[in-house]
Amino acid sequence: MKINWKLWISIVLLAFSVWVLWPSFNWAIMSVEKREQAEKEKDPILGKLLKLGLDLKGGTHLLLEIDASRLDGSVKIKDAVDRAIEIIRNRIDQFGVTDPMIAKQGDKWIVVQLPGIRDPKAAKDLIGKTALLEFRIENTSEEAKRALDLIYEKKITPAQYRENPSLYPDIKAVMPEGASVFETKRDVIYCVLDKALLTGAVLANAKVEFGGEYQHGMVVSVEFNKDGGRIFEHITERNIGKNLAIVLDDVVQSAPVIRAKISRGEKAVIEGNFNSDEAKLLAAVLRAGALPAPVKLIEERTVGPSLGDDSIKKGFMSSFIGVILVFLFMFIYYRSSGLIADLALALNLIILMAIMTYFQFTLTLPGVAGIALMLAMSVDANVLILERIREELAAGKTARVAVDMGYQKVFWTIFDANFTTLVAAAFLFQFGTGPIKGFAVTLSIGLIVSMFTAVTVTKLIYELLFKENLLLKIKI
Amino acid sequence: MRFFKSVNIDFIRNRYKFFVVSGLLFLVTIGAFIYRSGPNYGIDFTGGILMQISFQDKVVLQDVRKAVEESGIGSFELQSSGNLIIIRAKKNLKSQEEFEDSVKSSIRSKFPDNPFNIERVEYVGPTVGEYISRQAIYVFLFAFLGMIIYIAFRFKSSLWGLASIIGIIHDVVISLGFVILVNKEINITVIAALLTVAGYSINDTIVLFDRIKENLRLLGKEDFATLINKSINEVLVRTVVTSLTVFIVACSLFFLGGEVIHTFAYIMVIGTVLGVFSTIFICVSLIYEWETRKSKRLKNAIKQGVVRSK
Repeated sequence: MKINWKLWISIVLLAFSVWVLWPSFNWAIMSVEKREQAEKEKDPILGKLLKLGLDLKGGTHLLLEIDASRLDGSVKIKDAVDRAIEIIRNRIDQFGVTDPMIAKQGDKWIVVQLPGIRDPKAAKDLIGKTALLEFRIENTSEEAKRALDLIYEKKITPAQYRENPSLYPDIKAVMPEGASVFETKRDVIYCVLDKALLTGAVLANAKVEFGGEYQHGMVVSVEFNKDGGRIFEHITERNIGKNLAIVLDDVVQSAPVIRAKISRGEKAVIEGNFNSDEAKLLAAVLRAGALPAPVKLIEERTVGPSLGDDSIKKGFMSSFIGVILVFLFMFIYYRSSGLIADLALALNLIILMAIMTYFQFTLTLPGVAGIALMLAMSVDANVLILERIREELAAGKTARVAVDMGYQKVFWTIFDANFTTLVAAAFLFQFGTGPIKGFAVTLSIGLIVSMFTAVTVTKLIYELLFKENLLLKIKI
Repeated sequence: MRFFKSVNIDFIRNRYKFFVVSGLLFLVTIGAFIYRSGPNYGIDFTGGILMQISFQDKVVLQDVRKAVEESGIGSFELQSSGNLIIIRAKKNLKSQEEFEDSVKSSIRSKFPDNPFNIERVEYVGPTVGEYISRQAIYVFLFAFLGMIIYIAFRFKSSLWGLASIIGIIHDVVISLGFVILVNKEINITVIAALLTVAGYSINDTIVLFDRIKENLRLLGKEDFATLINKSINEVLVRTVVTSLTVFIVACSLFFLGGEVIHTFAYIMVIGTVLGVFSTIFICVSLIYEWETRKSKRLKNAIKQGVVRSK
């Protein structure tokens, strides 16, 4: 009865593991062309594979920090980060990366992982662009002109002034309320603009079009949503004759004169001397939405595809050879009992990989290290048991009693050793950064599985052998 | 098959000899510290930029150095093997993108007929470097604390917990010394390897502690030194067999694992030996010293009538 349920659990676990690992196995023997095709067609098999970390398969890992000082006072940092994550996800979707990962880390950090991309620079441009689009009316009052003169006189840039206006009290004194100074697309021409009346948040769509002032460049046309259209109509109505500046990331793109009221549903056009790539990028980021505040790249790790391939091949080959050598050693040293231990080890590895795949954990290089430690401890558990059985046999016990005593006596040793390591692994998981987490995951899952395979499964095999009278004497 | 049948080595009597060995290892570690003027922290901790470039054909390191110098990126370190070059800059004033671009264009103009590939780029900002360092310290601190508490609970003595942690620190510090000795960079992979050493060390210690505890129960009347020696000798075969299997895996990784895993395997090889050494000669000897002194004090106290014997 007791043997029965243990046997069933083992069989079910093994069947489950094979089922979960089957797609990964198929993938491993697939040709490169077939894999590329599957990636292009977004084959469902992609979601069922063992996930490899960027250090093993190549790709770019970015850590971004949101500039909290540039946030609107009313916006909470948490909401801003959540919004930024959503927008970055939208942008990456337009870029077409397979299986990207975007997540929050800490208070104001965002992790972006892009597996297998070939042009990290383009991706960084796409993600890092704030794309804060603003519509502001030019301020041509006397005070504004004086402020502008002072800025030219002092030879400072508008950005320097905006960063810390209190450093320039004389300029600040004449600057009209709410207004500030901005660069234009042409060199050293600055202009003073009132506060933003409308932002990119109210856009419904953005498209690349031909046209513009001289009818030969690329422009980006934007359509407003319902609210935006109403506000836009209102602004244009009240400011006829004035210049409406279209400001993107603090640079004035163009500032056409408002000749008449622009009613709802009409488009606004951003002219900025774009080439076709720039225009496409701008349209894409405007569609995805503006970031609530600028983001700064604070960490990047890019592993090229060739290095990734190389470390997979060598890493797996060397681990594989190491494991085979251990299997052989156990067999030579402990004979048939070593073979039973090997069986448990193999089962341990299979179940561990299946759990990793099923729960979509990522296998990284430090993760492989965790597996190495876990395997060492799993082998140790079996060595402990087998040595104990030898001792009991030497003391003149029968095979059956020796096996029972062996397991009984070392169980708590194995439990203590594994549990202590699990305690440490739990802390590593809680406090560790990305790579250390990878180590903790494989180590802790592996140890829990090992408690089952190295102790329960091997014992089960002995019990089955005793029951069928296949094992009367034990040779260790 | 078995390596040896029964052994009877008097480990406890020879413990001072092994304290000396341990002392020598610490001297090597301190020497390495001084010789290399401190650990060579990688950009994971200091912040900085790393670029790994593979050329199609072999290049002379001096030529690459010149090209990188001319790109005007400031101070940097170069490392090469064959057609592979690693450039590291820890303190740089340029933005990461500028750095990459100027290095690339400078190398391109110096080696027009030797196309190259950027295989790896790592940029760690100063705030991230600080964050990673802080996390690494927390990880060790809390993991150690957790283990001390569990072992103290299981063996009903905080001293046993403390002794096992001293063993781990012994192994981790000396492993670190050997990393510094060969001037390998301390990065996240090294931290993972040191954690592996710590895990292996504690595993070994617990196995022996458990045996001592069991023997204390069975043969409590025997002399403590004899009891410890018996326990060590009893688990000696297991220790050798287990260490050998770990050693096999570590060697396989070391020789075949490729450049990324190389440092990791190097630390594992050293850590395996240290883990066994510290268990037998540090942890157990410390407990022996403590327990015998405690019982001596107890005897003296009984003699003087401070404590009454039962």
